[in-house]
Amino acid sequence: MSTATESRQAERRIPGEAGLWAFILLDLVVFTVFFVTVLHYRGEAPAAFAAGQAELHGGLAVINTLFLVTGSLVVVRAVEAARSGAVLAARRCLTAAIATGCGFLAVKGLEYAFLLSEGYSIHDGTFYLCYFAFTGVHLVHVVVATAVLLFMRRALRAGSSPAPRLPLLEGGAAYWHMVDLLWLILFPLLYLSA
Amino acid sequence: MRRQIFRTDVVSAAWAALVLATGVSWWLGADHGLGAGDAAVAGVLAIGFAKAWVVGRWFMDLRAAPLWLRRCFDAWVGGSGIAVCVLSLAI
Repeated sequence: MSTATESRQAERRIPGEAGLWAFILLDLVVFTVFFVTVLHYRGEAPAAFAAGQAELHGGLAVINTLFLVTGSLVVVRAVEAARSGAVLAARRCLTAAIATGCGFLAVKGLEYAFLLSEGYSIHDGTFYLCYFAFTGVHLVHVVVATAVLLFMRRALRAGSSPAPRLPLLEGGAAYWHMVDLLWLILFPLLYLSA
Repeated sequence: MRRQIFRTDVVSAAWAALVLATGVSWWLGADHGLGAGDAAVAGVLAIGFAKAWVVGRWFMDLRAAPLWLRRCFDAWVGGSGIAVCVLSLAI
């Protein structure tokens, strides 16, 4: 191996902790099983899936996609600010990211409320079973990710160096981004695939 | 604050691409697109996996991560993406 290659490899590093990445990769595989499960049930009852998707409030899902994607951008800026020692800027960005997480939860709550008030529940066939179960599991991930952002914000104290907290910030950010990217696949799979 | 978040760099470009791809998916999936049925469904799912790859590469800092980690992530996006898109066409 040449010196230049060795140097490039040495510069490369895992964002956050290696153990967290093992968890992230495992979670991604678990969600792949969920995606295949949805497609399996869709194959068994295509008409029921088409009818179920037609009843969903897709516009709210688009708004939620924008919440998570924008939250991801703001989380990247928070980590960048912390790396450059700008604690207040990092805290401001994390506050904005927490707001996008809360926005997602509020809109998802509204979407569930609409569906339940229209008489649909997890017991109304395989489409609604898949919809409520898998968006519910993802919702729990969003709650955890938002709580992690709150913890990250609390860990950044004004007047103290953020350097010792960087692995925590990078790991928390990676978890948020994982939650974002899983939604980017659940969204077309549950709302647009009939 | 807005200037701190939205800059002329690759991360902002990735965010803009994700927003644009969301709009395209919605347009295709809402039956205003090619009207190609299964092909349109496979298309919006492929766009979803492409968006996931962008998030990993540019937001999760994987572009600066060790090769083995990038390969694991790329293998997940590629493997899951192909499996899901093929299954959406086959069943």
